[in-house]
Amino acid sequence: MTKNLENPHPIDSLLCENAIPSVWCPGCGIGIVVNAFLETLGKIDADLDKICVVSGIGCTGKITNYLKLNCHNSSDGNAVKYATELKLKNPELNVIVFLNDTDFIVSKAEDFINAGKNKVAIRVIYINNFIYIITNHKALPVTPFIRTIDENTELPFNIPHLAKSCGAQYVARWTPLHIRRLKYSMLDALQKPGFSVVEVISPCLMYFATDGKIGKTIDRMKFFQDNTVIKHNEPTENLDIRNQDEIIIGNFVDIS
Amino acid sequence: MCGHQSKNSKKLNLTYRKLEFKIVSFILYKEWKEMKFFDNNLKVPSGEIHIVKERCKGCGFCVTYCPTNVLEMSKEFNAKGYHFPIVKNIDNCILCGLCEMLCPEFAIWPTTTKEKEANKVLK
Repeated sequence: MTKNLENPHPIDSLLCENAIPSVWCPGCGIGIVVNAFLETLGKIDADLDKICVVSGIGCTGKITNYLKLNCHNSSDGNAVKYATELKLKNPELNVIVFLNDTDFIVSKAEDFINAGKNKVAIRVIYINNFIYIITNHKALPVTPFIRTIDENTELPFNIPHLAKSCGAQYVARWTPLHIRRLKYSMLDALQKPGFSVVEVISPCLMYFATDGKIGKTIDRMKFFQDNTVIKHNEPTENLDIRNQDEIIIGNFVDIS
Repeated sequence: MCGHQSKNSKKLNLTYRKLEFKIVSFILYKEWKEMKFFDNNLKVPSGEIHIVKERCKGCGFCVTYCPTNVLEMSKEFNAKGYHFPIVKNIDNCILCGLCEMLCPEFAIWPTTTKEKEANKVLK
């Protein structure tokens, strides 16, 4: 559809060009994460045959449709389980898992916990949208803001604290706006010998779609620009996203 | 008591560090003025921007976050009905690559132009 044979994009060799433009909404953060991930793959100089990407369902599950790598789109909630078995069977592989809220917290968090406890060398990139988008905009255990439809007043779940208590060797949290730092932390996470987690807080176009106020994703990115604070090595107990003014981001755990 | 003393010492350390930072930055600023980088020594790379307008979805990240205001949204429409970016001032491009990294649809990327690189000087 949109091929450029004269001047190809530097990533075009790893993309299925017939599938682009993608399914995602304009300005979705998932595309930026895929862009950063493919650029970091070029810096490692690894064999592309020994890299496997696993994804789950939802918007992040569509990532494997656009990559020219060894991919697997697993069923509901079984992404981490599939990745651990794949890593234990073939220890030479470099397994990367793109997770969603539905794959991780809501359905099967036990696979994540067991993979962390057994120190399986999986790299988890967890894309956090704060909301169910496809299934009627419901609230999650992660949503920080009070929704008027469901009247949800629970505190959000603290994911870096869970990852550290499981025994992860590398924990970081970034937004797609801090793109260079996200790439550096991805490069660190891909080279760790153990379990490593990178949380990405991504802007979603459909936060206020039920109120009839869709707006633009630039407003979400400007919100991230104004209301984030970089604090490296912050203790992970303080990383709750509540109704606070500032979101704390940075590299929190780095055990060599 | 111990905690109280440590807090005081931390505050003292902070003040000393701020003083040091001010002095060092002042010295660096004086040196930087005397060295006169901007005559003929320092050269900035310049770039050429490629845009695939059929991939674009008009989110506008590249236009808002370009540090030198190279890009601009067009008034024309795409095949899918989105506005796509066009190049306004190519001479301002410093090849930082932020538009390539922030694009979620792989639609824009810069490349080097070696002919301009030899001649261009920071003003």
